[in-house]
Amino acid sequence: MSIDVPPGRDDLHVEWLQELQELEDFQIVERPRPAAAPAPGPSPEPRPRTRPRRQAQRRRGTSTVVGGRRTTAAHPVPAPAPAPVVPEPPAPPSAGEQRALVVYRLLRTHPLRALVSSRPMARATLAVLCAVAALLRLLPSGHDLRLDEAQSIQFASHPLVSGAQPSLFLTTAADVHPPGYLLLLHFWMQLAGTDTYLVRLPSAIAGILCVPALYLLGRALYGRRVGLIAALIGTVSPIWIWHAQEARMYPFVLLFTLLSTWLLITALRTGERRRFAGFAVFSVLAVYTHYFALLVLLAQGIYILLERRPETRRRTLAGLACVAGTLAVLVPWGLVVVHNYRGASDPALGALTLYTPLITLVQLVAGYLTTPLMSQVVAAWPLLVLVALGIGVFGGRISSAGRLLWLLVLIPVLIAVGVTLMAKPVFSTRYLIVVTPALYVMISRAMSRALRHDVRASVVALLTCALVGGWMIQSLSILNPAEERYSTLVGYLEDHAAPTDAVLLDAGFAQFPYLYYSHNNLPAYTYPPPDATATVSDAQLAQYLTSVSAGRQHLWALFDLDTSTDATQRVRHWLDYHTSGRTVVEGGRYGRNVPGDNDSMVNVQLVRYDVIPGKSLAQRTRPLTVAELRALADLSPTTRQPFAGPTSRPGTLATLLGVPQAPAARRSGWTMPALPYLASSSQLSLENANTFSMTVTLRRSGDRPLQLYVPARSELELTPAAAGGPLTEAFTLQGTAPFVAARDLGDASRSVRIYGDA
Amino acid sequence: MRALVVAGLLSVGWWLMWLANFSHAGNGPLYGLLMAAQLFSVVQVLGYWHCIWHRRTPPPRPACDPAGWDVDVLITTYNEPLDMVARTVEAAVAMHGPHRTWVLDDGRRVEFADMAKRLGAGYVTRKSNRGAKAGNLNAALRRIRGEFIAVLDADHIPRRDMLERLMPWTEDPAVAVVQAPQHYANRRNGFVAGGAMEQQDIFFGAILEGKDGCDASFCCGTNMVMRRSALDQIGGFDEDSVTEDAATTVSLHENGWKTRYVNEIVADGLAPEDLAAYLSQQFRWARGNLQLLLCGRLWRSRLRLGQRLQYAWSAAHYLSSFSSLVYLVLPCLALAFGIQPMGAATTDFVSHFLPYLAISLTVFLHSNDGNLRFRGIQLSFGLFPTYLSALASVIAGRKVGFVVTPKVRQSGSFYRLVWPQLAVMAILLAAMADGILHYNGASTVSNECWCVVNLALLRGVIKAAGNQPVRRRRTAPVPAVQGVAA
Repeated sequence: MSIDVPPGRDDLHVEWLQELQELEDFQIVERPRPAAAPAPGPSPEPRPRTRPRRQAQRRRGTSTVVGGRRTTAAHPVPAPAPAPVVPEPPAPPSAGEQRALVVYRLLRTHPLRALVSSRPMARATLAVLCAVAALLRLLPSGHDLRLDEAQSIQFASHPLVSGAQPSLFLTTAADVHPPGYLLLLHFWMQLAGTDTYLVRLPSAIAGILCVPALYLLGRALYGRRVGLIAALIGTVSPIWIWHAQEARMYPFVLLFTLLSTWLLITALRTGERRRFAGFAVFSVLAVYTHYFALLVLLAQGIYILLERRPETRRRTLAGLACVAGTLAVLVPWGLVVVHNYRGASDPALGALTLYTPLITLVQLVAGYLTTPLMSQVVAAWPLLVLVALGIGVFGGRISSAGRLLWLLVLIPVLIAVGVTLMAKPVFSTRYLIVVTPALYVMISRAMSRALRHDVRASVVALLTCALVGGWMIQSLSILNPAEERYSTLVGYLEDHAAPTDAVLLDAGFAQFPYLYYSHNNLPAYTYPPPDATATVSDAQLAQYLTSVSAGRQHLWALFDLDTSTDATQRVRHWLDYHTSGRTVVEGGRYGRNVPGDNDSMVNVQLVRYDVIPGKSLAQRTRPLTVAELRALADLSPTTRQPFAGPTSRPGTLATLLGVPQAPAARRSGWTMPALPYLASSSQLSLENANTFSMTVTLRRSGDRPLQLYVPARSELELTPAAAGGPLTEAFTLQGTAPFVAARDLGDASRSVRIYGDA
Repeated sequence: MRALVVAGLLSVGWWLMWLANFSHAGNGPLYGLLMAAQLFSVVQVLGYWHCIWHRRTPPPRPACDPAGWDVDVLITTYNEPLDMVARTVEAAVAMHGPHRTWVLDDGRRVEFADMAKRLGAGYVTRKSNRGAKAGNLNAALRRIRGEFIAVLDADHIPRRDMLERLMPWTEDPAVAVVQAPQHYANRRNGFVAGGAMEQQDIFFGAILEGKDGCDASFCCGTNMVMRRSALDQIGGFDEDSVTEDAATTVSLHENGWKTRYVNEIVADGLAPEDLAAYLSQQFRWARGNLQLLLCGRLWRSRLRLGQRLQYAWSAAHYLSSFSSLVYLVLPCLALAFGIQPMGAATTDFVSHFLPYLAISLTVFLHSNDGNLRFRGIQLSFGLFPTYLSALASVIAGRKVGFVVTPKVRQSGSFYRLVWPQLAVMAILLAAMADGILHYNGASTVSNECWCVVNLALLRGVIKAAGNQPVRRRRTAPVPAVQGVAA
């Protein structure tokens, strides 16, 4: 739009420029001085309306103040001369020159305000923010791969179509998230491999793009200033940076919901069809990236309904159609989930107390502060009283933009609380990251509205410093509640473990980061036992741990304290009582998050137990290790009980990856040839990867058949003594179900294994 | 709204159950103090909820024929300047509907008689000023004979439709008083006037509308229409109280008369613009209400329970200085001496207290249509020394004359009026410094934050004392706007 400046009034105060700065594009046009003063009265035609948000600004009355500092004229205007001879007027400067002059003057007087004074300046500021955001997100974070990230990599490495392994989709459906991000990661890993930095790169890029997207949202709601403040908060937001450096879906769901919200607002304003289409597309992407995007979609749907007006009925219908379309596109996936979801794999989120929302709020703004610091920050809750009393600043009537923001914040939070209280725990800071865009725009708006302009810059700077401080604490402190030091601990374990040791992972899904970082062949076992279905009785537990530790020198226990499946600590108690010594390598000795005991505030604990040497047994069964199970079982591991579930078909054994298998070998019995070169002490082991127990019959010429009982998911080790003599002669094995027979060839590294079908 | 109140009642129960468990106490006496202060606050909150529970959408205005009105409009004045009163009289004379206008001048000023005559109003004065405003009105009542009187303060310029808005409600013969809100036209003129108006917004909004629902709305001295016969029955206005309006309404209610509150602006008044005037007005209101509450007038009365509760609740607001004092003192003690009302192991305090706090704030915000302004709250909180001195004067039984609230800004600085607040702020700052020196984790953080909240709330009165010049209104430069319009 153009604004006419009458000659003689060119010494405009900078405050007036504040009015101009909100305009998308303006030019100052010299208007010839009118012959007579304009007659007072209503203006003949109303000021052209550029866009709806202008109305709010006009209501606010932030227009001009007369007085105070004045700037010099944009260009001198000759005083009205009564002389009849009018000198040739100087050529009026172009619009670009005018704008440059305005910005120059602002820079001299109000450098910070100049940043939002015009579109080019705002763009330049945004570009700087994006560069800073890129720097903060692309710098290697130095954090170990978290359990969830390792799980991402594991799931994304599944093929797209079920074969020997179940497909990525079936695997994901059994878990708690939709497949969108994993699909992207699948292709990215084919391109870039599974290096930690490279695997995290797509998240970093999405995280950088979130900053301009947040600017768009803030600008669409409240203008350029709020957009830029929000973008600044987004740039240094510790939680945004944290998740942008993780191989998880959170930056993507942020980006998609941000864009869908922005497109929805602009679509409802303009009615443009392509914006509605964009809204629908990004909504679909968002709900296929994370289920909490559904809550955002719900908030958007309510907003569309609340904004309905008789004259914009078509837009309301279009918006609702987009929401319905998004839900329809989600239906196929919903069917897959219904048939494959196992429920047993949900992450163990903490119980909800009244502190949880406070802590979540602090984390959403200030990041993952350390536990001791968090308790002190949360102790500042009385300041919320001041904030609540200050809400009245915004006046009695909530604006359309305010309504949208409150919906976007409250609906996900309230529904998460409701579901947590009534069904299952879903209240988690990282899930609720979907409310951060609205939260940041609200904070920006509050600062822009409630603070006088001379205080505002200082407060924004203070907040930025606080967030950067939060980011530094989050990055540098290993007491950060989101930090999981798997690489360090597995490295320590590999350096210090003997070949006769074993590893116990206390949550099924802890195997993902363990396998990602481990490079040795230590037998690793998970708790709960792989054949456990629901609860493990004390007797089962004792039997399992006895067989896992029998014959070992040390048992290394890696406890994931956040997601432990041993809530009542029965495993620890058993190990404490039945081993001869305990060394805590990392983690607190007693309890977790004990005030004053920083060691107790880590998330992953490594403990070494010294196993009491027992007498050697002739026949011994032990559970299959993680590696054996992964190799043998045609299973899609889920998080909590990785090897249980409906996709494992009883009676089917898969081949070891990479080992060619002749169809002829698929039979229920085997004949072991005579292997006279074997040592007479050579053992036979029978591995049963099925979810049920089985019997294997061993026949040798001249002997009575030997019935061998092999429990589910276990390995039977048979010494020659138990077999009735050295197994160097030929013999046959007949099983009631598929199994694997293996013979060691005298030393620990070589063995013969035979696989087959029933 | 009622659902919110029900949720609030649950949260109050949840909080009181926790509070009543003395095992949470750290320091016994302090815990007792905190408990007493909290109980008082809870009673205040419950009174407010009782009030808004009865708030209702007003019924349509009854039909009424102006021809039958017999109204005397009474404008009381004592020492207000002539031009101010003249504006009021002029507007009163010009009101729609048949009425007679009277200037009741306790200042016995000749120029006022001339002014009244010139503007077409009657002039009434008397020899003594006995009974102050109530006496002035009673003296006039003996000289006029109208069926209804409308009362206006000298600074309340009535709008033309005042009688048309209020008189129809008197069609119900049981209605003795129809009250309209006080609206301050000078609300933008400085911090005090703005804050005073914001307080009035709450009182004349949710509170009086709720009281109206309980049949307990009382008249507020100006902007009202009263039935003559009702006044005659109770012997005129109560001359013994400094808040004659509330005392008079109690008598009316006792005699079975009804009061109506109509939340429509009918007159534009002036709020006190400086702190001295504001404090004297608040002192007078506090003293009158406390008198009503503590001198047994209310308890001897024959009011219905709901009415009595509402009167007691309104008057008890002026006892809130006690709880304010407790809230100011407790964090200081905790920071300076480490004495905590609550034991160290009471980590679930927040989870019991926050729901109550959140819901009561939400109800408050919601019932005021979100129009909760910080200034009004700051002023209310900062008035505790005034309320305390009013309480002392009531207990001592000292006679305090009726002081007319000055309507025009007085000059000078008012910091000496707020020395108690300044002293408390100094103590708060000292306690905060001491707390930082002896930093003790989360409890220090909480207490420091409470100190910050207290300081922010007290700052209002100090700002009001600053007597800052009237802020120039930000207006667009005329040529620029014209340029845009053209």
